Amino acid sequence: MARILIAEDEPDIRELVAFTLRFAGHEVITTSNGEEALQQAGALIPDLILMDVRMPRMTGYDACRAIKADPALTDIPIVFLSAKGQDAEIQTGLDAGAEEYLLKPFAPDQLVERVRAILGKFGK
Amino acid sequence: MDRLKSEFVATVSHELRTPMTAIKGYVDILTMGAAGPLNENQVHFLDVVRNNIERLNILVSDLLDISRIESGRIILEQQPVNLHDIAEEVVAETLRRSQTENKPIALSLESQRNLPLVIGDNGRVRQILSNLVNNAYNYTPENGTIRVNIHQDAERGEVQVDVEDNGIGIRPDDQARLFDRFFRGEHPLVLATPGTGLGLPIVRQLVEMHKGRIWMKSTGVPGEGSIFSFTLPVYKNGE
Repeated sequence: MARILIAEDEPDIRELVAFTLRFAGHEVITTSNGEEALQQAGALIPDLILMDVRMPRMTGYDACRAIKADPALTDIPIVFLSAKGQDAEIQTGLDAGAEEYLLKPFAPDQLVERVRAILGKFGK
Repeated sequence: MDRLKSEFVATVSHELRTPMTAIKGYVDILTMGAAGPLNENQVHFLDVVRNNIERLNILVSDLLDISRIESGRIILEQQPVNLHDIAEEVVAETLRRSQTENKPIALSLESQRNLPLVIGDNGRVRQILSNLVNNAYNYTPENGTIRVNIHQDAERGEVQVDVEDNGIGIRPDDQARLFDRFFRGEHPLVLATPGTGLGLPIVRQLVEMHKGRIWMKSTGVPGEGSIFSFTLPVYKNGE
């Protein structure tokens, strides 16, 4: 079981991801924008962060860059969950320091499997 | 104008994907039984919803792809590509699908020894082959046969890939329209398979962007199937 932080401004998607990961046995904390995600990442030191790209107050890209620039948080893997599927956008996410870019729509079992693989890769 | 159209399609695709994620995700959760047990009718109706979401998903992806190709916004990352390795992955993926869907298909891959590398964009070459093998799988009834054959045409400086099946085939009348946008045949197996009629036009455009050629042959007789072939230029040192 891992502690996973979700940053997603769409309530239906946030609840879907949270339900799926809780069902898979993880502890889940949710936030609805990049700024809150940055604060919660510092306060809770999650094992993994799942983040939307387009969010109010601070985009996922900016939040990811800020987290990766903080030595205390830089080792936390970040996965973008986004509908933005163009090559340049995916590259921007990876350049910002994300571990992976999961394109919407994703299936819950696919999400659980990717989360398991990434946690395994980081020994969590 | 093309750029505006492409941006419009990209925005619409993005806006559609978010609600599609919610619909698909909640349907999957219900089907998994994560929100309580379901009766047979409920499982069937959820399957119907899921299949239609899948159709919508293919449509959105294909529209985005064709719009980007036509407005010149897809730039190929050309590099030496091993067609045999890509074909192995595509065949393995299709075999997994055949097992998951409990639809037995005999799938084989034959490659000429010492096959040269071709020049292409790895991801896009995979998309081309994957589309053709998926079509062969979709339009070949169970216990059918699909053969992928890769060989060099030394005279033309190309490598040729043939995807041959013994499925429903394509009527001669339909063959001329096969690469037209939104064209789909009227065979019951075609009508029962989610698709947009954009897959082959995208494949043709991608092959041509690679300076390759694509064509097909079919007698149109069910059971005699069809052969889709495409070529890609051989990689030359220093390219």
